[in-house]
Amino acid sequence: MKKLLPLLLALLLQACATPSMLPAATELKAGSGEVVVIGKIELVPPISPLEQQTHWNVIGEKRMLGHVFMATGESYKPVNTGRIDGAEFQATLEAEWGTPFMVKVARQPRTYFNGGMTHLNVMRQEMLWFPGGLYFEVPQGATAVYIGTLRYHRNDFNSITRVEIVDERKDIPLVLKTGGSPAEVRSALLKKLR
Amino acid sequence: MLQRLVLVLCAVLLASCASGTKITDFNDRSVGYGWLNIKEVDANRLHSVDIYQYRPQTSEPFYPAAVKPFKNGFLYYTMALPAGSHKTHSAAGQACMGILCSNTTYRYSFGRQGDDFGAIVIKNPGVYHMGSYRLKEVKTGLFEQGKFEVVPATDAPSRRELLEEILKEAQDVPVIAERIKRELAQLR
Repeated sequence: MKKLLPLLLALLLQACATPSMLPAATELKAGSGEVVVIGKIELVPPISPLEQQTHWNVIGEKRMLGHVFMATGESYKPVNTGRIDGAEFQATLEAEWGTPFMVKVARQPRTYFNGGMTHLNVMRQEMLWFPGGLYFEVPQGATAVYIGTLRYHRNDFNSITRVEIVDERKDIPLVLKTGGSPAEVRSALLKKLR
Repeated sequence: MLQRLVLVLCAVLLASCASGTKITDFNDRSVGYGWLNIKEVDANRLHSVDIYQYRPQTSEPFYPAAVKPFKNGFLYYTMALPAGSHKTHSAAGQACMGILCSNTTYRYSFGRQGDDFGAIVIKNPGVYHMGSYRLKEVKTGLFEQGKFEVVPATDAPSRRELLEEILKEAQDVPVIAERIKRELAQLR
């Protein structure tokens, strides 16, 4: 019975897991076991304020709206759409739509994008989901990589109709606020799983 | 003085409660209608269905539909849809026994993504069927929120039956009544 208790507690804790974000990077230097990743995520057509419902009494709503949350991991495990499962979002790339990001990611053979979501109405838990099935590989010896622009296209009813990866290295200087040369950033464009 | 202040305050409060734009000209509006069977979910009496306008985007995207019990389910319809892309957004109801209803409102959201269910694209004013569906409870874990799924209804009334019912309510909007009659004439 005593052995069962920790197991039960672990299961309960897992069920209550809260999402965890990848740390933002401010320079091209990464710690041991990490790599700096630069890229961008876009939605075409972009989300307009008319599509979002805001509420004065929802704490943290401003940070959530206008952002995309992409679940990443060292293996490909597509997220369950419809409801956020914190356990699936333990290494979440949080990015503002259409704005280049620079984050630190664990150095691993491949980093997979397992699917993402964005909020339309935080209180009502209305959100849009985006397919994963993409990955990038870090070249030997690279400390910083550029993974490209991940561009989702949608139809009138928010179904994702096309996913493309675009090389826009011109974005790199935009995130290098504290120095560093774009030349130090190696290309590791996202690839689609076959 | 105090009485006047109270009156002004009441007027302001009432004005702030008003929402939506009243439509008086239906010449460029369309009828959107559908039917829901809710026998397999917690609610057994629907009191509202909302239709959402996706395109063109607007600051007033919700169209509340009229809801009425009809043939073992609920008919919902609106005569106010403008040209654009629309989808059934949500339905809400209560569990009732006779005239007694629980104070819990069950809300079934169809989501804001996908055109599988209840989606229509209006190019010209007319009469558009948004589909007939069955809401079905999905088993979840002990601590999980309830879930439901939407499946096409096989026991739904025909489009003719639904339109004939809507026509009874559309007599005071001649342009809409005329469109429904034309649609009925085309149905076999």
